[in-house]
Amino acid sequence: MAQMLYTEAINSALREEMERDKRVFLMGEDIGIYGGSRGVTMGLFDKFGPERVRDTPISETAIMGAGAGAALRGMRPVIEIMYADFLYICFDELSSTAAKWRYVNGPQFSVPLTIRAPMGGYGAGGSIHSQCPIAPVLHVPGIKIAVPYTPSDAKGLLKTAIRDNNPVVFFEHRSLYGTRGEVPDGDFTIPFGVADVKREGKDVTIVAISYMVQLSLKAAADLEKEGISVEVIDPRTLEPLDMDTIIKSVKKTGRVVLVDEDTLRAGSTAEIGMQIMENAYRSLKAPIQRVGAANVPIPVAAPLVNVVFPSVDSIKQAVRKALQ
Amino acid sequence: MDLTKENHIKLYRNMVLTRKIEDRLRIAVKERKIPFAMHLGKGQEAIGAGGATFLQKDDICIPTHRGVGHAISKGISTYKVFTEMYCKKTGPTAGKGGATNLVDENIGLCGAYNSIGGYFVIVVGYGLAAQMKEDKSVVVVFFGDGCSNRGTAHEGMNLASIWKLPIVWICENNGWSVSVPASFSIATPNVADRAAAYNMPGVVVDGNDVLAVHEAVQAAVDRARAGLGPSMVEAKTYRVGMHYESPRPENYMPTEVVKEWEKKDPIDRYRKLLIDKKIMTSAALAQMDQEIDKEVEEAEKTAAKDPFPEPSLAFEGLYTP
Repeated sequence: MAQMLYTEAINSALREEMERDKRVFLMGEDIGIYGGSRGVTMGLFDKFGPERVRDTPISETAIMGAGAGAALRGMRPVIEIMYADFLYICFDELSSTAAKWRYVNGPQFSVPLTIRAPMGGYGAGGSIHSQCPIAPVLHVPGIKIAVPYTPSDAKGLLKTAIRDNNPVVFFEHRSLYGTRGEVPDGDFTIPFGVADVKREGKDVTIVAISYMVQLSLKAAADLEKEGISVEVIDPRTLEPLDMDTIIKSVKKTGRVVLVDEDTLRAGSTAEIGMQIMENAYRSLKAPIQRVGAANVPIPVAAPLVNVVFPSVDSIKQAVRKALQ
Repeated sequence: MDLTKENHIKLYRNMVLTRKIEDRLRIAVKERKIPFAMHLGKGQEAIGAGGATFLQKDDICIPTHRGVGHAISKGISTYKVFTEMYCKKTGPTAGKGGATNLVDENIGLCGAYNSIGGYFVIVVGYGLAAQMKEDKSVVVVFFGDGCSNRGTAHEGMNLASIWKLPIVWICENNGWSVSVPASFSIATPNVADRAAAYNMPGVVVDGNDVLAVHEAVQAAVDRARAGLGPSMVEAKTYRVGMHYESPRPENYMPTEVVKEWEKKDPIDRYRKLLIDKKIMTSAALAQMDQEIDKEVEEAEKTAAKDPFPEPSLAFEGLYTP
C-alpha cells in the first residue's frame, strides 16, 4: 500500500493502462505538455509522446466525437472534458453516438470509450464551471458511470473503465484532487456495480455520491456524539448501481438520506429513492430525505454558494428529519 | 485511374441499381411497408457511385441519410437494403436502426447513423484510428449542403486538417435543406470554398457527371492514402424528388427548375456516353437493366417475407460484454 493523492491515483491508472495496451491513448484540452488544467496528466506527454497524449483545440464536440469514432474503430481512447459542465456541449456525441451505437447498429460494434469529466463546485467556479451533471448522463441508456471518492477507488475504477468495452463517464471530483489515501500496489481493478459501505450504523442510511461521501462521513461522526448511528454507503458507480447493498441497509435502518451535489430535481437521488420505494417500501419508518444542490444555477459569492450546495449541516438536518 | 470496361459497367450498374431500388422503395412507402421517413435521391445517383464504387474494402464509407446509393456503391447487397428499410430481423440492424443505418462492418460501411451532420466529428475518430494503426485505409464521408452549416463540420474539418487525417469530405449539394435553398443558407457560393479555411483542397464538380465525381474523389482518396491529409469535393446536383416520400405537397419547389434538372439525369447521360464512346451497346445496357430489375424484384420479395424481430430482442445488445 502506498499513500497517494487522488490526482496521482488517476495519473498512475492512465500510465499503467497505456503501458499495458497500446490502443489506449488520451485526448483533450491542455493535457499534453502542460499536464492538464489541474495537472492530472502531468508527465504522460513526456513518457508517451504527442501521438498518444493528444492536445486538441477547444472543440469538445470533436473530442467526444473523435473519441467515439476511434473507439468504434478498435482504439481505446480516454478523453478529458476539462469541466464536466462541458458535457452539455458534446451531449449529442455522447448520448446519440457513443451510448446508442452498439444497440442500434448491431453487436459487431462496440464503443470502448472512457470520458474523464472533472466535476464539482465549492470553488467559486460559478454557473458553468461548478456543476455535477450526472443526472443527464444517467438518463441515457448505454453509458456506465463511475463516481470515485477515494484515491484507491479512482485508480481501480478508472482501470476498469478503460478495460470496459462500453462508454464510461468517469466523474472525478475537483475537491477530492488534493485528498490522500492508501492505494494498493501493483495492478488492481475495482468492479463496477459494487457499493462500498464506508461506515456501519443502525439508525439511518446515508447514500452519498463522490465528494458528498466526505461531508456525509463528517455529519455521521458529529451525529454519533449525539447518539445517532449512521451508515454511509458510497455506490461508487451509478450505472451499474448496486441497489442490493442499499436495500439491505435500508431494511436494517428503515430511514434514508440521499446526498448528491447535482441539482436535486430529477437527480440521481430521485432514481435511487424511487428504487428504494419499489423494493423496500415496507421497511421505511419515515419519508426518504434528499440533500442536493438547490434548483438554481450555481452562483459565485460564498454566502450564496453556501446555501445552494449541500453542507455537513444540511446533511445532519436531513438525518434528524429522517429520525422524526 | 483509367477506367476499364469492367469499371464502367460497375459505375453504371451501381447507378441503375440505386435508381431501381429507390423506385421500389417509393412504392413500398405507399404499401406501408416502411414505417419511417424515406429519403430518396433520384437524380443524385452519380455521386454515390462516383464516390464509393472504387474504394477499397477496408476504406470506410459514411452515407448520408439519403444514402441508398452510397451504401450500394460500397457493396451492401440489395436484399440487405430492403431488410433494413422493412425493419426485418434479417436486416443489418435487425429492426433497431432504420433508414440511416445501412451498416456492414465487413465492408467498411458505417452508416449515416447520427443527428444529421453529427458524423463530421465521428469520422475524425475513424481517420485517427486509421492513422494510428497505419492501416492505409481512407475514410470517405458523404454529407449534404444542409448539414454543412453545422458546427460539427467546423470542428471536425479543423481537427482533421491539423492532424492530417485520411478523410475525404464529399458534399452532395442537391440545392435544398428540406425547404430552405442552399443559395440562402450558405454564405459562400460553394460549400467547397470553406475548405480554404481548413487549409485543405476543395474542388467543385458536376454532380450529375459520374466520371467527374469519380476523378475528383479518386484524387482526394489518393492524397489521403499518401498521408497528405483531408480534402473536400463538392458535387453539385439537384433534388428532383421530394425531401422524403410524403403525401404533403412541397409547395416551395420551383417546378420549372426541377424540369430543367430532370433533363440532366445522370443515368441517361452516362448511358449515352457509354453508347457514344462504344464502350457498351444499347442492347447490352438494356440487358443489364433487365437483370437489375430482376435482382430488385427478388430481393424485395424475399425481404418482405422475412420475419420481424421478436419483442425480446428489444432488451438485448445495449452493452458489449
